[in-house]
Amino acid sequence: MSLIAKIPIKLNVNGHDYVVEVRPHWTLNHVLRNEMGLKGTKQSCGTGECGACTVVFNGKAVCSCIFPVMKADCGKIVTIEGLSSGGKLHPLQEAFVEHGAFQCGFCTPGVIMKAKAFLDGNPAPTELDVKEALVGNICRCTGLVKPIKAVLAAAEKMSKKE
Amino acid sequence: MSAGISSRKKPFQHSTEIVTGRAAYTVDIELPDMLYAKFLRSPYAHARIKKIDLRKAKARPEVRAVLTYRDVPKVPFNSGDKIPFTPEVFVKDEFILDERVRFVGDKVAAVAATSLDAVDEALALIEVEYEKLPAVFDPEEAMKEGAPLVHGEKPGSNIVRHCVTDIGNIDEGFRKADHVFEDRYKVPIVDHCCMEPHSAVASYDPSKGLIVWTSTQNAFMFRAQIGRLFDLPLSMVRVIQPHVGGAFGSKQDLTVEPACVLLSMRTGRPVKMELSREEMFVSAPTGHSAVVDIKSGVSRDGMFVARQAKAVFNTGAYCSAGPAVTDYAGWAFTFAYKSPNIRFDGYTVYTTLPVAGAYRGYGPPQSNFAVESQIDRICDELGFDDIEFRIRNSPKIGDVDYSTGLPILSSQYEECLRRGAREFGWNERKKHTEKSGRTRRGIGMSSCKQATGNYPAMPEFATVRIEYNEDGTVHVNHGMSELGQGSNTVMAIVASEELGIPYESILVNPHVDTENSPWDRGTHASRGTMMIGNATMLAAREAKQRLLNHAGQMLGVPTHNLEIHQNKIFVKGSERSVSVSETVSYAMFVKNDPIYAEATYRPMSCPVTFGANFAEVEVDLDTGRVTVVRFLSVLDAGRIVSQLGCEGQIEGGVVMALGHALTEELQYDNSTGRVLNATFRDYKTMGPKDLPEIEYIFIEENDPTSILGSKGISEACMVSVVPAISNAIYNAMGIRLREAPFNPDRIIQARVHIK
Repeated sequence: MSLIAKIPIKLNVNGHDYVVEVRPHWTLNHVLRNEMGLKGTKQSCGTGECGACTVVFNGKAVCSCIFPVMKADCGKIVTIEGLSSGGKLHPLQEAFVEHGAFQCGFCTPGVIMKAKAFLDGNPAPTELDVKEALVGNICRCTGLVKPIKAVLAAAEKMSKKE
Repeated sequence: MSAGISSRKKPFQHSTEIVTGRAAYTVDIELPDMLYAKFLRSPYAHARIKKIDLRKAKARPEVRAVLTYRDVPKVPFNSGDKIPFTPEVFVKDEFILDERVRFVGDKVAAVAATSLDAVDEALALIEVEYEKLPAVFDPEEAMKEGAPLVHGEKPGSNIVRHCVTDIGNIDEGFRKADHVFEDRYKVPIVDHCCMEPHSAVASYDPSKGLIVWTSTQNAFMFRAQIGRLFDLPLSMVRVIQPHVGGAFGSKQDLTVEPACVLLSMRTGRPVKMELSREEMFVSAPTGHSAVVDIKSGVSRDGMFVARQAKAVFNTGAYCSAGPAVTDYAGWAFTFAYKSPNIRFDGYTVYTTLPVAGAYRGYGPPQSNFAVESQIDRICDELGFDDIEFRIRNSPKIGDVDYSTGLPILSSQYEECLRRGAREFGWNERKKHTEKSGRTRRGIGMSSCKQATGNYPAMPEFATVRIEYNEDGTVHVNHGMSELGQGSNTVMAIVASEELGIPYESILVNPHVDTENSPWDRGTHASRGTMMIGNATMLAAREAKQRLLNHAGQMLGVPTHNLEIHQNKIFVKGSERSVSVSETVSYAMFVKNDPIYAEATYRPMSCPVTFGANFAEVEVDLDTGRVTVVRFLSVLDAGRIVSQLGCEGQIEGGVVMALGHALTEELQYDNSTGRVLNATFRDYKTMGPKDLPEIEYIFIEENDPTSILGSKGISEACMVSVVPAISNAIYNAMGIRLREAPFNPDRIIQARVHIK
């Protein structure tokens, strides 16, 4: 679609400012993965139904596969690559390792980013809260059984730190 | 080997890569100058391509190649083929592209272009004229004389294969039976729903050969198939399996790979193909729907005297693993319970529907639903105890498996059932006649038997190479695809225990690369832990012995006086020691003797994993909703190597199978054959709020087949979950549901029969 011109937009991704040339019909997922090389964010369904593409946009978890990139202009995005700092894993990542809360790992970045946005707003969740938060995420390998436990464990760990 | 309780809980290999998003899957691969490609797909269930006009598509400047059936090698193949090729089981009935299309979504053409946008645009510009042909969607209709032939260019019928097991005299058996039960059970088409879509990147260079990165569970099978299709020596075909985002059987089949390779050959550039989710549902392999007619003759004292089943497996438009899956359903039926007279007739049938292939369980889920549900009925109607009836009729240690001719070497079947019954409170369950009201709770159980590995049906071996680095860390190389099931972790745990070095010092190759990995059949048949765990153990023992020989020289004592723990080699009973790294350095740089070992494990048996499932459900008669409240899985999988891995297999396997029981069904339009629910919104898997409490008990007994003592778990945990749920629903409302899934529609239809 060479007829459609590219438009520059501003994105803050994982704390860094970028100007990216995008086509207006592109999704945030396409731009993150294919234009910026951030392959940690996955795409699995392309229709916002499985959560594998979840990133945090202005503090909220969104499905990047249906998020129009034009809507992301001037926004602040955190992806799985931006979660750990200085080589130290985020407590969620630690809990996922400790609990064996993944198998193939393809949905894991999305589940973790969904949990990150969720715990930021609800630092002391019940099990039901966590289950409700993960309703939009599919994990065919674990059935989400261990991820739910890992999110609860991370919440506990994070609350002790504060 | 030490008991290794602590090592059982070790985190999975490559954990950090996964949780930081750095694990690279096939879909993440980008190469310089790479083209993108997609298929044009058929809008008709059965048609012949009369005319195909590519001029407009080819005129697009970004388009680099367009393929139709005229461009592909005239070499028929079977997408799920296994080595050695067995043409009567894996019928070669497909081409990379064909003049005929046989289901809605079948491949018509393939386009490669410089961007995905350009591919989409070009696909829309291809003009095809079809001659519609009659379609057939019901496998029982397809079996009839005069039905439209799915592969009509060849004479014959839609029955791909009819397999028979015939023990004793079935008619005589039924004549002797005091009671005869006949039922018909049905399971629908189900989808694997692996999160990473089928994908591949192919890069062909005539001087260097072909490299294919692919999301596969058996790289060496793909290599053999690709070599055969393009007439390339295997030395020129390199298949690399990066991290794989789930498979569950579906990635035993070639999907995008052959066209991707051909496009790379045509363009001289790397080409990437990735299926969309809709294509995953429609065109990637599915799980077989089946109709099972089961008839059992039981004696007054509660013994089977005749067992018979006729199973029709709908394999869709192409054979794939259909006959092999049907055969294995026959094994499960035959093996499940002893009887002097047993007959199984398995029919694998073509229809003009999406292709069915390997799916976790590989046939037994279909027959177990019939067998384990009917036993519930038999026990209920004749007043036998469900647990005792199963134990009494089951094969025991020393009994010979009719199909393989091999004796059973280990079984904790009885203990699985008794222990599960005790823990679950089975004996306190009330009859359905004692229940009333809108919501009714019920308890059900089932048992399972699932074999491990391919012996003796296919050549079966696995090889592991262990190599010490000069700092004392260790590399483990292998050909077993890690799909998340945990085989890499098993190798690391076994190597760590056997070599006496920390788990963290071991790196298992995360990928399979046919250029440097040992040849392997790949991941299927629950073979991972048994095959690769034992190969690791054998290789580690040899490597350790070589290391100890050097340490003995360094310490001036005989090798048998040495022991390794915590990364050090000690003279037994003293504090004198050398470190592992010092010893490796000494071996390499003083003695010019690098330390590595390679070993091949060849099983001489096909150990069966036994188990029992217990479920409690709540049925809401107003809404028709079934909620699973509690689930207990009790498994005898031999020795448990990776506790976290086994727990994960059970949890994920049970949740997947609960989906099969309650919600999952790939639906199609009865007049057009178009799939109606090719999205996650409409094909519902179990969500986090649908989960019951899942508990598990491992009844551990080392299986004498191997020194490791492990049996498979990844299929055993899920092959018999559906009947536990149907039996629990019967216990709740007194109605037998003989067709899965047990969704609200079926419950509402059934409730009018409540007495």
